[in-house]
Amino acid sequence: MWYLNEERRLLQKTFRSYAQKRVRPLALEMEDNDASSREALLEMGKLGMFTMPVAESCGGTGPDYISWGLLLEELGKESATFGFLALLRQVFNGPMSAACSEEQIRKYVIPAVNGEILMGLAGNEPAGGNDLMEYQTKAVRDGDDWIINGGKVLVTQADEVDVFMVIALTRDQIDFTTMQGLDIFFVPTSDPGFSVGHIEHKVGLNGSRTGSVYFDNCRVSESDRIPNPWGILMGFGPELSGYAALALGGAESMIAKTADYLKNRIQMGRSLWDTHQAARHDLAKLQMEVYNFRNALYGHLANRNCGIHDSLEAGALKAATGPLMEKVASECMLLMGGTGVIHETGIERYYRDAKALQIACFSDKTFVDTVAGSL
Amino acid sequence: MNIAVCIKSVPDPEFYDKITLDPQTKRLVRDGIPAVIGEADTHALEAALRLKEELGGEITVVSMGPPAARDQLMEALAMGADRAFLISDRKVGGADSLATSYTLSMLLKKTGTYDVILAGNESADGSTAHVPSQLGVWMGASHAANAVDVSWDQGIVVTRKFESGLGRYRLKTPCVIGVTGAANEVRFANVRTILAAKNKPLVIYSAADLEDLDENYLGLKGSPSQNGEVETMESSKQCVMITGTESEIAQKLADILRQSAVRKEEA
Repeated sequence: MWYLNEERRLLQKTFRSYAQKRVRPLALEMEDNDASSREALLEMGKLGMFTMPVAESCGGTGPDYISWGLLLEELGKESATFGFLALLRQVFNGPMSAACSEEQIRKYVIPAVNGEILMGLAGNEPAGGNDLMEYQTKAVRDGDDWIINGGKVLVTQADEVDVFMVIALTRDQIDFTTMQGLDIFFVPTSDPGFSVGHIEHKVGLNGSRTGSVYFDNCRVSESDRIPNPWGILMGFGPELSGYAALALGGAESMIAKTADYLKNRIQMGRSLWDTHQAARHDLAKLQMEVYNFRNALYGHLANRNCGIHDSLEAGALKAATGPLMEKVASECMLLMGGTGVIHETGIERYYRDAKALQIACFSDKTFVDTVAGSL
Repeated sequence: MNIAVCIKSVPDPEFYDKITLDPQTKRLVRDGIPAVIGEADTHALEAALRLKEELGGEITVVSMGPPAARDQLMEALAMGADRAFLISDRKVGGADSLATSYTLSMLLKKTGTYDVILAGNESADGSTAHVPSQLGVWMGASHAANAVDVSWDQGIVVTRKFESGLGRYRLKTPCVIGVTGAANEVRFANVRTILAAKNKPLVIYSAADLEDLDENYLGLKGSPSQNGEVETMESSKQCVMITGTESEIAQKLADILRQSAVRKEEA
């Protein structure tokens, strides 16, 4: 691969080993019991796996987005959900590194990078994710503190994180000229006013423990208000290409499993691989799509290493994630027959995860209109 | 404490089903099979890292193998070793365990003086479990194989496993220890350590770089044991339907099992 060098090969080998030894045994447990991945995620942080591509001033090892892609690709091979949760670390760390105060970087960002705390985002409200004016969660100034009241829905890892970034209105109206009226606060989940509501049952991404959270007079200090909240909101965009790395890993894993099945499924003395050219070609066509997808992804990440952070390109890759994963899962299930639809085979899970990934971190539908707006 | 760890580059066990034997050379055909550090060697390295964490010092990793074995030395550096040496030369190729342990001992003598030398108890491919003890003899050092625990208690303490139980020994340094997979849980390399690996010294020697080598103990020519005839085992599955009444089926099944057992014992 053109994007691999000795250092990245070493990283890739370690990521693969971690994914196979830690994530593989956890994947089915997360799927079946919505089991927590918290310990494994914190361990990843301690192993330095969230230092990429974070700036050194924020506890990272510098901006190598290709190594970050390799990490997510390997995790995606074992579990799209686990990979998604690992991806969220950078979705948060990236914008936080740029938008937080030095004190906040010391208090929240560096511990999050090092796996000492798990950070979350409490953004969505029933009125909708995009219409910020409709948000009901409000923060009111009280001396040097802020008092937060309200609630959020569809929050990832609702009952697992240590600190939430909470989006709240601080005025009756958001002034889009001065960008005042909306703020983001760090709220520790140990706050006595914080509580967790219902954990949802979803079509896919099981184990991400999506649920509702409530803030009842949660008190945080002014120093926990992020000075540049729009830097956070606008900063998520470039990180969305990480989704494509998850899809790439998932697709590679499904194709490898299916090829292995076809080559070892013997009927009347010969393998399905040898007797069914159509099956071979169906799988080869998927593999060709994966080649192109891989080049598009790592080309994009190489650009990011050069300082080019194109949110539209990143979003386009994100929007291609679900459809690729869904198509490969669908075809592989078909090629594997009965084995393909069995839960433990681990392919039908991707079929459902694909749908959830199309909605997570901005729906693909919303994103298409963003592209339309750029034309 | 100066610690040395001997490692071997071996085929990745994930690909064992794709490895074949060359009928002419009687060696494994490794083309296209990725290499890894031998499983037991990773436990030896982990034991070294733990000793270093407790006592300080330096970890040197040594290996003998083709130039590509450099990758496994880099992996060891990425795990936390401090420097690495590889001897790679056709003259030392095809070595049995005696010639291997001799060459490694000369490489170790060339690269420093060590308090503790750790090695995987046995390699994943040859599996002779000879090298650690032979190395101890070549180095004139105390040595212990089958170690299931390596620790420090005012000196090196090794727990060895025997068929009848465990034995605990204090070893005088310098010492050589054959570490088994039961000794510890191997850590994952830390990203920061991986990124630091490229700045650590990794030297590749040829046979000419090692002084006073006795050619009688080098490579295939210096190996008293040579491979005999080898053949690839064909495994096949056969399904036999047993019919009859329940008691007849049970009787036939018992007969088959009994015959299978007899054949195994005779073999």
